[in-house]
Amino acid sequence: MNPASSKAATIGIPALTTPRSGTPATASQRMRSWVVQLREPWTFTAGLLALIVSIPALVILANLFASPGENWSHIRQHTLPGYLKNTAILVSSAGLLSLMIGVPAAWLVSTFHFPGRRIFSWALVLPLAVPTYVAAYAYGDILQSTFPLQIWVRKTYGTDAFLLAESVLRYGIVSVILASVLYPYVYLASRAAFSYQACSSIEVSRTLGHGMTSTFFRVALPMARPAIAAGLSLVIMEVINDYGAVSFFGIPTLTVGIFRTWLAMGDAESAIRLSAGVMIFVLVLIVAERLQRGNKGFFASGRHTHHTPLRKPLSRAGNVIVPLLCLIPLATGFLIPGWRLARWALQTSGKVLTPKFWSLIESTLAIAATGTFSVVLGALLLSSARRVSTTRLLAPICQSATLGYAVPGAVIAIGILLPLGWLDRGPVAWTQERLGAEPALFFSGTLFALGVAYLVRFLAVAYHPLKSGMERVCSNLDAASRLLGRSPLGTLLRINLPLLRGPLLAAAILVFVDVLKELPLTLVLRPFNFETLSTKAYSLASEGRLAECSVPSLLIVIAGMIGLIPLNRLMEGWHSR
Amino acid sequence: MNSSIQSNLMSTLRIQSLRRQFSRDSAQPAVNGVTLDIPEGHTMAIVGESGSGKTTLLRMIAGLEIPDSGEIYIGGKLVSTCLRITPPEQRGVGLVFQDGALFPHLTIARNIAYGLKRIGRKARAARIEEMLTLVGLSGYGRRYPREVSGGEAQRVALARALAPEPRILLLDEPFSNLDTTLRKQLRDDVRAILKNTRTTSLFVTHDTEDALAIADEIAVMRKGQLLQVGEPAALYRNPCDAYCANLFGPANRLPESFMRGIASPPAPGQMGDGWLWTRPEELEVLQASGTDTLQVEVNEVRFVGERQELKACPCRQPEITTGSLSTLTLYWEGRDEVRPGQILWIKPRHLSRGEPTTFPEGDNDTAGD
Repeated sequence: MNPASSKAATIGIPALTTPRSGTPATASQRMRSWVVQLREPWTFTAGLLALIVSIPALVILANLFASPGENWSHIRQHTLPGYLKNTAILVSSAGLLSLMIGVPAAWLVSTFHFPGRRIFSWALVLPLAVPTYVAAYAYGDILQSTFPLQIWVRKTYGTDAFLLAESVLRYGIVSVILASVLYPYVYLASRAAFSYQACSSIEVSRTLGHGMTSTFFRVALPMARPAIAAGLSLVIMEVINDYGAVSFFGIPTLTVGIFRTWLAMGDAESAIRLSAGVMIFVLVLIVAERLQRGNKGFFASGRHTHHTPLRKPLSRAGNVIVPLLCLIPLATGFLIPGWRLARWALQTSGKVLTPKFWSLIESTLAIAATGTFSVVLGALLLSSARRVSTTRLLAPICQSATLGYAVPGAVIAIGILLPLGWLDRGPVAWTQERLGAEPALFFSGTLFALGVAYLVRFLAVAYHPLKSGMERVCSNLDAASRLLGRSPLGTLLRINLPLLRGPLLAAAILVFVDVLKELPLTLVLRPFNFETLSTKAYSLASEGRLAECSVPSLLIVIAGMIGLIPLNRLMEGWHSR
Repeated sequence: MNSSIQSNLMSTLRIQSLRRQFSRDSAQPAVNGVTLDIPEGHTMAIVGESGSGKTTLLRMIAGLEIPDSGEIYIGGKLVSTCLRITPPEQRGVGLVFQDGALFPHLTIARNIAYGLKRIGRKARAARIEEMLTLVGLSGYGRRYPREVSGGEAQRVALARALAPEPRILLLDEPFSNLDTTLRKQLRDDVRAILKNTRTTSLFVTHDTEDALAIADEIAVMRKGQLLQVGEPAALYRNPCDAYCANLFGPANRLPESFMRGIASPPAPGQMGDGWLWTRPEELEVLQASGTDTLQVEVNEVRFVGERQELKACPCRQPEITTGSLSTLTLYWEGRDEVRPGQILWIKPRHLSRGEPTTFPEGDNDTAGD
């Protein structure tokens, strides 16, 4: 135990801390220490929550050891290579594009002075408000517009060239669409790195006689690398998670493959195998990201001086070119899709805005609110447990409980439906039979299943702002409260929670917006005939009614923009401590 | 070191063989067998450099840190053994933090009221007003912590800690975030408040000036252990070693033979074998050589009121052959002006008085100022 961790683990229940003997603990001692730690109520509750949230992963990993179904060898030979290839192409091309947009944009807005810099600095985040599938629908007719080109290729170079051109265009377009709404993850991370962490180092480099370009490659980029990699890993996870955009453009990735195998072919076992593969890949990604991050930390804390860095003015040509360069990602990721959606929405609003649509909004808000409530409650429990309790088991518990953000929706969906289906077929059916009730599904296909799924996927979204909010409250305040005669719980209620109002609101907004725009989970787990804005947009788009799907899409984008406010504030807040 | 654990039944705080080690690998514990007694109404200061374990000791008394072994009694009640730890809220201990640690979402009045439980509304309001007046901030009750200055925040922290009438008040470097002028005033005020309220208190600081200004008794802490406990004057006059000596004022390292007045000893090997430390007051500065004198050259002259403080270097002399001599601090009280480069002679005063006031060399790595 190092001094820092023991400093954190001070106010608490002494009897529960493990004995500080000189000899290293044996396995059985460690086991006993775990049991002792779990007897502490906070640790137990947090552990229970972590267990519930890990059920999908556990189910999938457990099923991996079952013998493969009859279809598996067929899938492995014929469809799996395609899924893998498509996923790899999209991950690498969208990832690369995000880097190429996000890093330079962040560098420009944080170190140069040019007209509109302040506006671009926050506006470049706006594309994050557009979910990938909405961006795909907004650009839904773009492939058709390349038909003349494709026909010309076929006439001039033959069928093979035509097929090649068609697929290059298709993959290219999808990559650009994905990158143009996902690059803000990279942008936000590198902007934070450039303008806060590396700020003084950049200034030092300049005083030592290095120009902007040299400073970028020799100081800024190496220092920002961990942050950039963390942002990139978020982009990759989103690309893998995406179902709406890739299915709309007919590119079967692994996520599409899971749904296809499971829902269309009814082969749950093979779908689980695919999911397990995806999950292992994502876990490797997380581990790699954490390893490369090392001790540097995504948002290196420490003392930041509160001065505005001196930004370098540009030449007259630069003053024209740089704003135009910044405008490109903003336009492709936000302005153009937003404008197209708005125009279509105006045309079709009369047809779409029926009483039925209002009830759709109602049910969307209801599900988003319930989802938010349960997720924020869970995150509050975890972060409070970490604040109040001192058992060492809590850190790994909280970490494992918040891994769900990395797992694609398709994987979570299958990991939840399987155990719930088993419950419905087993105990519930048995009880219903005994009671003479009509057999009905009790868990699967209900809002309960959806709620659990949101909890799994979005717990991290709420947990991180709450945790950092808690951490920002100096531990001396807790100590002062305890010394003035309040119990740990009293301290939590009177000091920590009142000071947590801001982070709580931020967490709630973030989760609310995320639930609202979530597609794959909602699509699979929703009750029969239950529609939300996102599923409605999906079904309208897959019927080819792009113009009509613009109304729900636009509403989702507006909600997403509201979600950016706390996100931006959080990014700023992480540094202003 | 010299605390009498057996006798004093009236002590408010008693610590016995307290020990805390943060990691198994680290060579030395943060707090290593500390035994301490504070009588009722006394103010004790623990002085030590950062990392000496003084804050850890304070936190263990407050119950914020769990000792590995040892016992703590507060008001005669055993609150901490290796078997049973009383949680901080049941110890009746007040703590003033370095940064105040005021609750930012509560007004000053409600901050002070925070520790006042099971007390009627009227009594509570009266107590808040009383405390605010005590710390000289009446009328500040409705403000929020962010609306007061650093010094005022520390006063509020003091009022908040004193409001529930703790058995003992702990202060963790409460002035270190303040600038010098403010610090001196607050220091005097705090001393007056502690004396007026007859509060037993333990005060931790790295600043000896703070300690001398506030404390009835001072304990010097180093590497997890108490080197010396005593009244300020005793610590100044009779430090147990060079480290303690240097904490409370300038001290000079001189050859033992010189200090003991052994002039021209028979064998050169005997000379300079040992070193002794002494305060500048114990050295007489002369303008002419005499018996048992040492020739020094003045390097620096600093005017400090009544007298001049000199930095001087001993000149190489045939009598003293071994060991390196460091710069000495001397006090010159004569009328004549002394200039850098001037040659003077020094002689231990006690040679004419009879009793040596010197102290032995402590750990070598601490010697020097």
